[in-house]
Amino acid sequence: MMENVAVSVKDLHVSIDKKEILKGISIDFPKCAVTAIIGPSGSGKTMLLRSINRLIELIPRVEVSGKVWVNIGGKFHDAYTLDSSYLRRKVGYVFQKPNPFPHLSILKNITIGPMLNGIAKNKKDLKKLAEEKLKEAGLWDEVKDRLNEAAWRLSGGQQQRLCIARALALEPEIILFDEPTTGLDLYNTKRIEELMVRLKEKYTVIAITHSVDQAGRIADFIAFIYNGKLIEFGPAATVLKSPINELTELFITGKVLDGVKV
Amino acid sequence: MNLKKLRDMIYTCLAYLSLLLLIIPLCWILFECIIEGGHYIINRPIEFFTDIGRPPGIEGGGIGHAIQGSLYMLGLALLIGIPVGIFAGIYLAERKDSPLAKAARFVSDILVEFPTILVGVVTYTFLASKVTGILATGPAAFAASFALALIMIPIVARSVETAFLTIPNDIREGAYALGLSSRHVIFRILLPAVKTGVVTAVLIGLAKIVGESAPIIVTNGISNFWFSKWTEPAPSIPVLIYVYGLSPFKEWQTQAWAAALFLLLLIMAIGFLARRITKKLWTGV
Repeated sequence: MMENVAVSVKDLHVSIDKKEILKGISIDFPKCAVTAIIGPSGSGKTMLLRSINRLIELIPRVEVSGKVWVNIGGKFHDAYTLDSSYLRRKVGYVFQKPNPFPHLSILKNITIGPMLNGIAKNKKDLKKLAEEKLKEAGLWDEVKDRLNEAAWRLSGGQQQRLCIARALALEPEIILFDEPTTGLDLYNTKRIEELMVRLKEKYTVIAITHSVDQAGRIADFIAFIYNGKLIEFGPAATVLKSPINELTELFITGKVLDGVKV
Repeated sequence: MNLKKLRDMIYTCLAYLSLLLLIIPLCWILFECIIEGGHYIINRPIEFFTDIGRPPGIEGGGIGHAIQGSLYMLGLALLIGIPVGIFAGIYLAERKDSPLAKAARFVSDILVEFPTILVGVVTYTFLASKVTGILATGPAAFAASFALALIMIPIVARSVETAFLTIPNDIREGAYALGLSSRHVIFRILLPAVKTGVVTAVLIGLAKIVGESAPIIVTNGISNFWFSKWTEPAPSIPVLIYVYGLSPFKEWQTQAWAAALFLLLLIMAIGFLARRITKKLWTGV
């Protein structure tokens, strides 16, 4: 496997309740780049993302076959034989809806992961880590005077950046974003987009996005998923300007895809 | 006046009327207890709470022994009921599709509706009966505690389950996404998130068993002495009210009213405490 690959998915099949959701996907996500996954609702984007850090295993009656290789510390590991705890620390996940722990303070939201995982133990280290990660997520200036306030008091956009900081606090190498700007206003959307682009300097970013425009703004590579299959994958400019597949063209120009069989 | 306004007024009146119907019985019972027994507590406050009962015909005496006995019985019942109820509730919520959870949910639904006197009979038969019981002690305080715990567990378990199910799934997923183990997710993230619900669950369970008399009579019998051993009958407030209240002696009847007043205030205090704690825990995040 090439060393500039962060995640390598090979012939991935996922079914829930015997219904096949992903029908044999193979894709290599490049390291330290932003890859956007686009496709209509129900095409299996979220399932693909969740099978990378095995969050998919929380779904009852799910079956996964195929291979997912993740590049952690320059070495490839089979995600499904790796300790799931370690995998999820190294492959962070940011959800569609901001989901900070509402009963914990802003500070505690970030420190609880490293604390329980034994990454940092004493209070001073934890606080330093929190400050560093909040700065990285571009939230520090807004919350530095209210670290002990409950997290639910933050606005939606701030909550989402808190969730990003929470994932960063575990020192991941890959971060998965599942439509992280859904329901946010333009200003917050822009800030999170900028953040994703900035994060690729240190991390590999794989992001599902509902908008082709957003993919154009943030992505270096674009993967188009339709009906559980990977239709097209390549550099963003190529996919958006001169897609090879007819379906991709239909999708990015906003045409109806319903009923098109692949 | 138009029809809409009239209808609005009728419904408002009906709402107030139902509220009144709800409050009147409670006020009436409280009033009756105060009239019949209040003076006894006021006249002999220390004696009432600390002294043992007197034989019929002799003035004075108190319910100290029953308070002590109730504290012992409820204490052991809570010691068993709280952890078992909470763990069962968590299991029901977090492994909701497992066959064991389905069976446990079915059983606890039946147990909640089960007549408490039968819980007493079953406990007595299996644990304390000299003929069929494992421990064969005869009527005993520990058996009453077990029965009370059994009554409390399904109530606590189902309330804890409900509390856990109110946690949005994305909070749960968010915790797992941080690489936390199930143990950490449940006990360090989810349980603290619903601690108010859990405290309420325990208090609902406590309020249910604090006034129970039938299962105590069946498992523990009746005692008018101080608590001495777990393997012997012990007195308790609800049973004392039952025995004193049905007796033909005026002094005992008065003390039964006084004890009822005390128990009623105690249950109201638990409710009040529940609200206070709940509020405090929530703002104390």
